[in-house]
Amino acid sequence: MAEAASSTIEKNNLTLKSSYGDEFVLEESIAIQSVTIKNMVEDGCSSSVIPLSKVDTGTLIKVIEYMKMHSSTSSNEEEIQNFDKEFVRISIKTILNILEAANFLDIRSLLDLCAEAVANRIKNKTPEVVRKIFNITSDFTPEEEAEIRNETPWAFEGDLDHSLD
Amino acid sequence: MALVQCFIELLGSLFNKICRGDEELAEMFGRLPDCVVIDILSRLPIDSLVRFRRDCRDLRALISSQYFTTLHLSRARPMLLLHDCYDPTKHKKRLYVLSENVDKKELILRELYLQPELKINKHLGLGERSPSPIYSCQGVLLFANKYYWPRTTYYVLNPITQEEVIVQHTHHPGRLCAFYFCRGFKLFYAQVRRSWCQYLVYIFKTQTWRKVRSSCTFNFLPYRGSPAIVNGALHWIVYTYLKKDLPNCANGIMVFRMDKEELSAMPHPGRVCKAKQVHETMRLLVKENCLSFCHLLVSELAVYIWILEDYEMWAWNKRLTC
Repeated sequence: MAEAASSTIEKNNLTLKSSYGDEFVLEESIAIQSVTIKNMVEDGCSSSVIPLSKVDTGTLIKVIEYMKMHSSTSSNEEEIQNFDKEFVRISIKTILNILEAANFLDIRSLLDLCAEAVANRIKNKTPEVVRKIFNITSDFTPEEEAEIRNETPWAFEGDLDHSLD
Repeated sequence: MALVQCFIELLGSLFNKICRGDEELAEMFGRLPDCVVIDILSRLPIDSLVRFRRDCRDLRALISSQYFTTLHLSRARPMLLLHDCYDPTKHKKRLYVLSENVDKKELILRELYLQPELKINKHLGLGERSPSPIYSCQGVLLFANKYYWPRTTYYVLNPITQEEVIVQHTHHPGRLCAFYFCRGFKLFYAQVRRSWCQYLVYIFKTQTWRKVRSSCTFNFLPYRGSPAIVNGALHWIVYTYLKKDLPNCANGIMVFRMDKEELSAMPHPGRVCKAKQVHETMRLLVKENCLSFCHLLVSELAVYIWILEDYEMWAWNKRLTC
């Protein structure tokens, strides 16, 4: 029992604090997948709690789940692939939150995974739906729009996804 | 760096549009840093980009910019173009793009759209004189009259912007050997004189042909098909040796350095060939960023694959025999 406790301490744990004030204890070896955290550790400013004021609790739980899976030595490539596939089967809102956190924490592989997932979600959408998602107002006149539409009719053929999700 | 800054400013104005309104989702998109949004957009397939191009001027400017197209190209997957040219019932030759629908796990064949005004479109139905796709480079297609000699007209088409450039020349007889990109799009052409070769480069930017310096003893004609592009140079198997009928294995691979426009010839790996026709069964490819040499030996029912492991020393390693 005593041995187990001492080995946990040796592992050098870090405490991450979400924007809601919830604290999460994580092994340093797992947490340094984030280049931001790695730099903090190397600069010696990680002795106390690391505040992540831009990351809410729900998002932080997802990010930690991802980092734990990707640093685990027991899981093989196929398991990681399946994990990644399941990981992005969430609402687009949640993915966007994770993207923001991954960018802030500088975790390249997580950023790639989420950016790819968002691209996959919006690629078959009609411009009207994308406009709603991005909240863009078209600044073309109807005449100009018809002209552009005429330029690339092949792009408007085929089955397009009109749903907002 | 200045270029990137310019697009970050451009995106800033895009986000003014995005952040307008109070929808939670739009707000979240607006919160994302510009580099992340560019990252997402650069992962979209070309047809989606063309569709979104009409969303707003800023988005259109970004998608058309060289910065973005280079980023997009680095992520793009290869696309297969099919040319239907043997169906006599159709009046018009058609081009199809094979693309993969990842979600539905199926392949879709979509006809490549060609604007009616394009000259290539008018000439595609001309039977034997109809141009065929010969080369592609960075998503741009090059068509030439395959069965019509001398081949004097090339159609260079960007299927996304529906822009077309026509190149005409009188350097026949000869062979167009490559369509490549090195500080702009260029063509490499080998003009066959009586007993020697003159090599020419066409520069699209200046619309001019330029002679490539080569010694009078350098008379090699590359094999038909795409050259293997690696290490800043084009590589072809030498097919016809103009003077002699003997195979010239010591000069079996012709090399053209793109930046310096220098020509050289190197030996192909393996043993010396007995007949010059043997060179017809050889191909050059790029594998794992290395020049790769494939040799099909019909008599032995075998394929030999060699990899050029050390380019400077021209050291080949036989990898596979099957």
